[in-house]
Amino acid sequence: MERLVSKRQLELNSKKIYLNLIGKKLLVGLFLAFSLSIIFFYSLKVGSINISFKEILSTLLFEEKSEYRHVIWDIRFTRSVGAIIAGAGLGVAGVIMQNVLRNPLASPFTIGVSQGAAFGAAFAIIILGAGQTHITGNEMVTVNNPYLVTISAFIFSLLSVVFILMLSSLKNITKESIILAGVALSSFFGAGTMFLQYFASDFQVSATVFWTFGDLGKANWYYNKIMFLAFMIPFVYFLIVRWDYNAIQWGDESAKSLGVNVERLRVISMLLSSLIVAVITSFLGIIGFIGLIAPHIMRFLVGNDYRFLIPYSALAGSFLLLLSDIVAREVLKPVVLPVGIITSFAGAFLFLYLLIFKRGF
Amino acid sequence: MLKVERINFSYKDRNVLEEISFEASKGDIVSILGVNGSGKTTLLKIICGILKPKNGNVYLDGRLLTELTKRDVAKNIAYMQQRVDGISSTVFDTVLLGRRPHINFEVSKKDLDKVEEILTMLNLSEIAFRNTHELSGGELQKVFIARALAQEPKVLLLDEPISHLDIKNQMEMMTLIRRITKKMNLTTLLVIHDISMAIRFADKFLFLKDGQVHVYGNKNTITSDVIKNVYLIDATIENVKGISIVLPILKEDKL
Repeated sequence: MERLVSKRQLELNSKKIYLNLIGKKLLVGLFLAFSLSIIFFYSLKVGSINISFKEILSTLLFEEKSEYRHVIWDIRFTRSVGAIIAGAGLGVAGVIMQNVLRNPLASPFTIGVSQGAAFGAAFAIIILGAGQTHITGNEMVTVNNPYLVTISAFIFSLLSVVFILMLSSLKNITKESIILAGVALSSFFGAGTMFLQYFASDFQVSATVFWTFGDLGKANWYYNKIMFLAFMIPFVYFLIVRWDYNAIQWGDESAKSLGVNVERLRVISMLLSSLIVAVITSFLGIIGFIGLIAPHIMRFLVGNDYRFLIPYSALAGSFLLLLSDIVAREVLKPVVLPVGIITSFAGAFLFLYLLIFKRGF
Repeated sequence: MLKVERINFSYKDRNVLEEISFEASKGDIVSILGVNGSGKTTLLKIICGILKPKNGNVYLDGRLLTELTKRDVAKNIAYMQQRVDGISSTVFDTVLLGRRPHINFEVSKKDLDKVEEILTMLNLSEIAFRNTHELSGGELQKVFIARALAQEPKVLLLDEPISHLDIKNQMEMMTLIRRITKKMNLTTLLVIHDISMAIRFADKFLFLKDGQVHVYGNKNTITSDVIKNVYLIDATIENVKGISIVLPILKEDKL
């Protein structure tokens, strides 16, 4: 009888502990969302014109009366929303790629998807004529035909995906080999981009170089809407099949024995994540390391449960990209650096830190 | 009732399984025996749908498995593979994953109750929140069996469940497998190399040789001749205190 009681206690405890752990993980998400809101509000203050928080708030609430309406809404707000969407997209694409390729080093940047997309964008601008660029008041180069650029970026990022998927389906391929193949692909597309630039006009070269920089200054409402759509549709799919990602972590056979259609999941996931990356890259350029770092930071905080990892990688990606953009705007004020430079610098150091000081990474 | 009918399977040009047929009832433990590479694991993978046979069928309670969705197959048949490259996860979460075929979008109270019930049944409650990386081989095998049971299967397929365990853990594991098979009225198929252990705990024995069924039947079918034919080694079957033990013999042994 005593044993039965103690068993019952254990039962009660294990369920309670589990729900308690879930509660803690939810708190991490809330904290992330709260932090993101804070830096989002702060990001509206960052810029060459000094605007107080009070004025920002009044502009957001009563926009008609404010003299800063254009600066706040059309420039800073747009830019920060762009950062949130792009960061979320890159974070989610990274966490999904790491899962389906079963490779902790996989990310849009490390397997050549970003570079493929950038080459596609350059190809559309220079060869297909989508790059009749013009200089705006803010000295930013924009593209007249974003559809063509996006489609071209998507097609070339798909080439990387198909190559990596074929490679990962080989039985004796190692995780390191996939990353090395990604390095080779990046180099290949990098060389291709340079080749195109060599024969391009000054404007076209400036446009393509702009891509390699990855800059949130290019964000506008139109781009943001398309990026949001390109992010949301795959994101909803990823959330629906999140248990399949949990299963696939234990290996293909394990997942299959749990009823997961592994091959279909892998192909759809890679296609959708490369769609996200292609759209973001074709609008904003190559933004490195967010897709690699955001999922790893969240893994440290909430473990390998994809119910949390997927949305939290999105939040962490948004947070990191927005923070990087604030740094990019502040560090050499009034010069605004392309955010890709900041993410690559910070990402490299953060990655090395995780590698050296966090065992099991 | 599990019915395997004329299964054939080949890897490229090499025939691995030929015309494999047998039946197993509820509550039966079937040991699958044979030399390395005789197709034992392949047979398990075909039964649970991981591999597709060239031809042949698997029926569960009269229903053809290929007519079921992958999810429905997983609700009926659980497979524990030989080696798993684990990830960092708690025992509770690992067992909860076994509920995947039953979970539509989010975990229900029933799922959590089932996990608790199984953890208690297998005496895993105390380590429910330990990381799987910290577990011993015996504990980890138990966790994987718990995950398989969380699927609420009718058929349990275990690929070498005691291969990496010490003798105490082997005995505990086999006792556990027998207990849950009888208690839950499962059909359990297990690939095993230790014939003595198989005789002690299983009800039926399927010997594979060159991809074909050499012998299928109860304890009485295991003879020195069968062992010699399958493993190409002389052996005697001794009875020690009512327990049958298979003793391989080398020429230099003086028995």
